[in-house]
Amino acid sequence: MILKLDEVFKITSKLAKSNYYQTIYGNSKDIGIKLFKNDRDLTKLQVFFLNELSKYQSLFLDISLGEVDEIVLKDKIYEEAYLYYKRKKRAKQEDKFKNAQQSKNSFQWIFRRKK
Amino acid sequence: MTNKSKVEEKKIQEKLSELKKNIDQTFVEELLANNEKEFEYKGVAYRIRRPTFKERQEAYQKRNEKFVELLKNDKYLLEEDLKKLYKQRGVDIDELDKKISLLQKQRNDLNLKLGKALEEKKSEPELKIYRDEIEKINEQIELLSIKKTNLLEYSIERQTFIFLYTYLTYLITEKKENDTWVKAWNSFEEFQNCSEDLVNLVSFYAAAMFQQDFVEA
Repeated sequence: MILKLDEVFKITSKLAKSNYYQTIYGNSKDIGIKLFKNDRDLTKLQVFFLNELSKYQSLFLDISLGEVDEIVLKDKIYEEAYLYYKRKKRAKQEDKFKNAQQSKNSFQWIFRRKK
Repeated sequence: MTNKSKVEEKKIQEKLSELKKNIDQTFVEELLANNEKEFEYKGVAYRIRRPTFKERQEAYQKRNEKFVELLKNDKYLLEEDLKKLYKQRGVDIDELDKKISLLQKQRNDLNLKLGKALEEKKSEPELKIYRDEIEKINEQIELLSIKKTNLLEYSIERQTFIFLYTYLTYLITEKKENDTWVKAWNSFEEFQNCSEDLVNLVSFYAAAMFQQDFVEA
């Protein structure tokens, strides 16, 4: 039997969203505050925590830039949906850019002048 | 599963539920602080730590041996065979998978709509329509996933994974003797035969801290 401890992940996520950990995370590079006692061999839980910190940092930034309202933080489903939408939107833009670059390159090749 | 093992499992479940009550913010902060966790049991200091590369390799080896051992035993079935057997009894697990995939796709579509609505700063009642639909889908996915896990619980693959999980728990547990950390048990057999409370406690910490590490071990 394997014990599932979803509660641990829920609380980890809640901690990552808190002002306290967001402040530490935001300043960790600049003033060298350490989040963990260990510098390497991170556990998957620690990696999950780092991902959550980064996720909330990005959400807080979008809110401060006015790209989305604070309501996004009201519900986990809102958060996930907004981030999923953003990821897909970015991927679409990147594909569009790549395609534009490719067609630009092939255009130059077709009409290359004789030297 | 025999009645005896059902009773035993129920007993373990109850004890683990008791331990689960300890999960709060302080508990999680302690888990996050380091890649090892110290605790005390009957006056002895124990710790569990992240498995080393060598320990993972040892666990892989043991897992493979266990897989072959179960494969040779007629009482156990591979997932594929178990699925066929269930199908004969009217339970289609592949169909369950298809339902889960379809629901995930529906959820992704709704996530896109909700995400766009959030970006466009639509009103809360509008957002809530999508939100509630996603919540319903999440619940359905969870129920189907639990059903599938329960149905395949006794497959060789699942039993092998449980063995790997237990074996890693044994490998990563140490106790303090004269200010030095040493292996908590001399053998896997000793671990299996030691106090049930200690095994439960160790398994609880291992699950809380390393569950995901074990999945990818």
